[in-house]
Amino acid sequence: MPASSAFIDNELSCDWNQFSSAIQTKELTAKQYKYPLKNKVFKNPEHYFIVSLLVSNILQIGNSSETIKHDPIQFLPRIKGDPNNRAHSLVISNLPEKLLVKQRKLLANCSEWEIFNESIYVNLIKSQR
Amino acid sequence: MQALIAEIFNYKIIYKQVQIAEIDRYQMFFNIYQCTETKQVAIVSEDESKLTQSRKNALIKLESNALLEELSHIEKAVENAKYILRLSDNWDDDGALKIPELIFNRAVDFLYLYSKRAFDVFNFVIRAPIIQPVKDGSIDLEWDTEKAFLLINFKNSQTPTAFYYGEFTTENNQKFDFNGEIPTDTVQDTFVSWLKNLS
Repeated sequence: MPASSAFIDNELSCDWNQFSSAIQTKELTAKQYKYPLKNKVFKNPEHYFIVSLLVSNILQIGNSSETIKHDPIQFLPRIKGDPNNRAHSLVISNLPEKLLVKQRKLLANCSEWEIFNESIYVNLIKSQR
Repeated sequence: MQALIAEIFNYKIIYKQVQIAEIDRYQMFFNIYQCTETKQVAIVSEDESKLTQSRKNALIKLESNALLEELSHIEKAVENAKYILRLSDNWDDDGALKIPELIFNRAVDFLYLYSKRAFDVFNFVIRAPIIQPVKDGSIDLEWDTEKAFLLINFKNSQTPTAFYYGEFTTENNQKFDFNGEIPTDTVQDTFVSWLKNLS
């Protein structure tokens, strides 16, 4: 199960599977700049794994504050490091801290791995130790 | 000779006792105290009156920082999580904040405190949690078992409190949730007793 620490943002960026597969989502990270964007260094897609969540499960979490919004990214002309993404969507919530912990845990519990490689994960953690 | 922790302070002996002769016992004690990997500790004295207050305090500190062998899995989890202290700003390539040592220690002390209380008073052993950094500079302790789960988040703030959310499912498939805010510098026995659901 993914850790709750992955679900910290009040606006959680995600991709709608009507317009993107898990593999496409992973591959898109290779076109995104790392923070800070001014350094113009691309992310390494091997450092990212992909989970999926059912919208119905998100809406059943029970805080009644989650909304899901389709938020496609379309720049013309295109911006290097911030790729266009028709599938881009947001899970939005504005919860007090006390409820944020609940939301993070329940989001983690209802998510499933789509792409996960344990040996890469273990090596990444080991490299930090 | 007396085992000070056992007999003077009425605390449990932390590690196996060995007798040390012909040396400065207290100096040896302090050296061992600073070496957390050492699994054998000798704490011996002929007379309680020879102890200064600072030595007494040090012994108490030893008691509160060392764990019983039955809880060595907790120590191992903490050891494995120490990489968190070496993370710098932007460790997730998305602008994450460095985890302050204060917050890491707050989470670890809380874990030690509750593990020991659960074992000493409530007679059960807490499972080791997953210890994770969070991009806002806070720390998560997270447990998942078949019947229960719990997330405790230690905020990146000066206030020694944490927020938590947990659920427990009974054999009749009834779910009970458990959430709120808890001070991190004292033990709450109602919280300890709930942790039994994770054991």
